[in-house]
Order: sequence, then structure tokens, then C-alpha cells
Amino acid sequence: MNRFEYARPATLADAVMAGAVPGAAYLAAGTNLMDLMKGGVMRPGHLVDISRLPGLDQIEKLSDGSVRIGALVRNADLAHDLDFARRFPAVAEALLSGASAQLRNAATAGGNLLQRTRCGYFYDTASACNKRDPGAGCDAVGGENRLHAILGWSEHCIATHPSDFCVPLIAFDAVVEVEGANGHRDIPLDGFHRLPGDTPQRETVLEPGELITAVRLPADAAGFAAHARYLKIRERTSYAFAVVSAAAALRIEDGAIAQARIALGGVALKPWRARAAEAELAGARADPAAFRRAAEAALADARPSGDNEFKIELARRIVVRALTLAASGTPERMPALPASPFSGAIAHV
Amino acid sequence: MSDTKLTQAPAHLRMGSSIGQPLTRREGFLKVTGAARYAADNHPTGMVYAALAVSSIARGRVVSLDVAAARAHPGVIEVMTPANAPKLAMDQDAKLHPFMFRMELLDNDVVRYANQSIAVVIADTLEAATEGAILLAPRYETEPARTGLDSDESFVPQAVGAGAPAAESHGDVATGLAGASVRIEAVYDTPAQYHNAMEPHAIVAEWDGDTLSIDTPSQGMAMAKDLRRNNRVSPYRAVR
Repeated sequence: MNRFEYARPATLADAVMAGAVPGAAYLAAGTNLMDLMKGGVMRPGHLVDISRLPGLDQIEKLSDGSVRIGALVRNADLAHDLDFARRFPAVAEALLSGASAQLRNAATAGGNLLQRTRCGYFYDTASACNKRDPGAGCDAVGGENRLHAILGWSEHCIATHPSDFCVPLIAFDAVVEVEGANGHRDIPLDGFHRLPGDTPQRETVLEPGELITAVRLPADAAGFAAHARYLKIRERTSYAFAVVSAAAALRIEDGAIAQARIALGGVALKPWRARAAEAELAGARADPAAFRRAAEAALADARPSGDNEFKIELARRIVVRALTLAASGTPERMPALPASPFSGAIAHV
Repeated sequence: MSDTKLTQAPAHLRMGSSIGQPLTRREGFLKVTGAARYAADNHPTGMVYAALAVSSIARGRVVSLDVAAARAHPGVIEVMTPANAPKLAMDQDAKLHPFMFRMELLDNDVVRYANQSIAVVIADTLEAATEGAILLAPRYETEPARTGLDSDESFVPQAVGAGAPAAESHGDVATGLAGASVRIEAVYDTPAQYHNAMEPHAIVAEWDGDTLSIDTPSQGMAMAKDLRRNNRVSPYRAVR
């Protein structure tokens, strides 16, 4: 690990000032950053510890019905907040399908958005990686890439964003609250992460030194609570990143779908909102044919970036399955294996 | 599983065959309760740490190491490379017994496999040693590696495993196959396999006068002792 300066500012204003120093990185739980530093993948010269900043660990219900999740709210605390889980069951399910119990107890909401890809070539400093070393090339192209992106990738980077949490968040139009040297701003989550293009080292639209202070879910997101699921295909049923995942949420009125929300995880360098699939379902009956049409629309632009063509059909099927489960109703209780297609309550269609 | 007893004592003594017998893992209780003490848990007073710098290429030569940068890192005590490492007391290729295998121990700058040790950085903390190893920033002359079975360039070792000949032939295979009533042709693939040790690979070594004590995970205590004695650096010191 490289030598670094460590600062623990007492106020948000001081933190943002310290974070503006070139080579600075914010430290919250460190569940990703510490691993990256130990592996020599990230070598920040300054660590600005924000983990004890006051006021950022609250789940607040705002007067307009929206919910503000403080950046330092722990994954487990959010998922186990009864009121939150009842209103946003797919978000709670996504949180509980991520990482391990120990990591969920530590990892923060804000940090989740900024976790780095788990592409093995990014972590292996002996490999070429345009994210780590812009212009170096990409060893994942032509390498071991069966888990890599099928949407939105470029020849410069075929990595995926690993978050579960972000997938239902993007389906529900979450907004990221950010504090920087130039003050406060709101960024829609759908515009927060960048696709790789020819600058895969720039992963978000954050300016240097900007700090996430909260994630907000709009009031209408709770309107899907009766029909909302998150499903995740993993190579083992816990403590694994998604091969593909999907959040599906429906508002069903008089037997027809009034509104649908669909997003995919594990398919691109950002959580992937499938608006074309949502449009396909508007006004349709909740039946297998409609779900399959939606799945086709969601993956219409997908193409393999290597040995991962199977992920395209897998993603279609998980969209169908997530929609099917969402249509049959959000379970009364969190499934014993959250987000697992093997955890009971498989609806018959 | 109702008859599983959480005890360090063997369920019973076995005479003769172990087949079909319940097997008690004597240290199992300590391990599942977290009480087991592993080699790397030992921290003798004044202990310093060694981190290996390993090759990122599979075949070639190390042409440069930034030893000055590693030495300049705070906490780094020594950097051992082929240029200054103590010479081994014996020929690495001498096969004194069947289970002795060549190890690359900083004899020269040749890289024979990926992750081969190419330098050792010694420091007063593990973090400083690890960072020192990174700062060596090796440069290589790379040669094409032979990492598959279908390479054009064949490699026939003198022996395989614990000294068995590399090739053995009985009878006339071609004629036998040509005249066989049944032939099965098939391609077999094996998945990637990972070595997954329960205990981290670590050595804690401590001099006591002329005697070197070593704590390290090993399946063969006597053999490990022999190997280290044979690989001893001069001047000779006892290994226990």
C-alpha cells in the first residue's frame, strides 16, 4: 500500500475542501477502496475519512413523500428498516442479495454507487486496463470475459458495474445528491454513471472533489410496492456478484399494467434502465407473451463483448422471470434467499 | 451427524484399514472455534517482514528492478535480488530424493513461470515490504510462454512427478488401434482449478544463536526440514 495522508474532517464543508486536493479519495466503509489500495490498483495520496461526518446516516421521509437515504446509511440498516422495506421492497431485496452479511453491515449507500468494476483485469495490475491506465489497452478484450458487458460497452472497456442496489434505484428514478466546491446539486442516477466510450477511466459525472451526501427516491416509487422484485443470477447463491440481474416493478390497475419499471444489472458499465421494455408493457395484460416482448425490447441492442453471448438470453429470461414474480405480487416476507430464483414463491404462468 | 462429537480425542483408534471408519480431525475443534494457532500468528519480538516481488510475465528475463526506489521507501530494510542474494549451498537441479523439485530462489534473472519470485523486500512492516515490492517496477524481456498442451514447441522434461519417466510406451499402439474392434475418440476439457489452502502460506523464521526455528504450514515436516537444510545459505547454520 502506498503512503498517504489521512484526514478526518469534522464538517461536510471541511470534507469537501479536503477532497478537492488532487489525488484525494473519500473513505467511507472502505469495503472496496481498501481492497483496491492493498492491491495497488488505487493509490490515493490523501484519504479523507467521511465515515464519522454527522447527519449523513439518516433515512428521512420528506414532506413530498420522497425518501432521502443519507450517504452513510449502511446497506443492512437500510434493508432492515421496516418502513423503507415495505415501501421499496425491490430495493431491500437487492441490498440483501449483495455481498455478505459482514459487508452489508459496513458498506454505505453512497459508497455503493461508487464501487469499482470487478473485472479481473482491472484488479490485476500486471494486465492492461484503460480504466487503471488510460491508453494502456484492455486485456479483457479477447481474454476471460464470459461475465463482461453485453450493453453499452466499447472496444476500450467491456467491464460491468457490479452494484445490486443501483438496479432498482435506477428503475425508480433515484436522484443523487452531491456536495462540491461549487455547492450542492442533484444528479438523476440514470445520468450519474458514464458508459466507457473512449474514456473508461471517467466512471461518473462527478467533478473532482464532489461528495455524494444522499440518494433520494421519489414518492411515486412507493406506488410499485405491491408488485416489485429484484432477481439475480449468480454462480453461487450468496456472496457473489450478478452474472445478470433485473429489477421489475409494476403498477397493475383493472388487470392491466398501468406502468412498468425494468432495469438490469451485470450487463453494462452502469445500471441499465430498460425504457423500451417498459413502453412495451404500458397498457398490456400481465401475461407471458407481454413479458417476453418486454425482454426482447430490453435486450434489443445487446451484443456479446466476448465469450458472453449466453448472457443475452439469460438476461431476457431473468427479465421475464422478474416480471412474472412481480406480477404475482411482492412476497409478504423477504425470501430466505433474497433475489434468488430458487427461493420458493415461483409463480405459475 | 448426531454422533459427531466435538472433542479433540479420536473417536477410536483404528488398526489396519481406514476404509469405512469415521475419521476424527484432531485439530478440528480448535479450527472451527477459531482457537487454532497458524504459522503466521507467531510474531516474535523484533520480527521484520518479507514480501515477494513476483513476475508478471510467464517466460523471459528480468532486465531491470528499481531497487533504489524500493530502498528509499520508509521502513524498507533490505532488497534481495539475484545480484545480492546469498548463494544456495547446493545445486538446485540435484535431485537428492524424488520429492525435491527445483525452486527459483533468486539464482538468476530468468523467468520460467508467471508469479515467479524475482526479488524479496524486507521491511519493518508488512505494508512497507509490500509497497517496496511494488516500487521495484520490474521491466522484462518477454519470450513466448508455453502455457498450453497444443504449443508447437514441445517440452520433454527429464522426469515428471516424483521422478517417473516423462514418456513410457508398451506394445505397438498404432497397430493395436488399427485392429481394434471398438475405438472411442473423445476430447476432454477440465475446468480451471485453483489451489485453495486453508492456511495462508507463510513462514516465520527466528534465529536463536546458530539455530534457525521455522514455523510454516507443511504436509511433511521431516522433508521440509531437509529441504531447508539443503537450501541453506552459507555459512551453515542448524535448522530445527
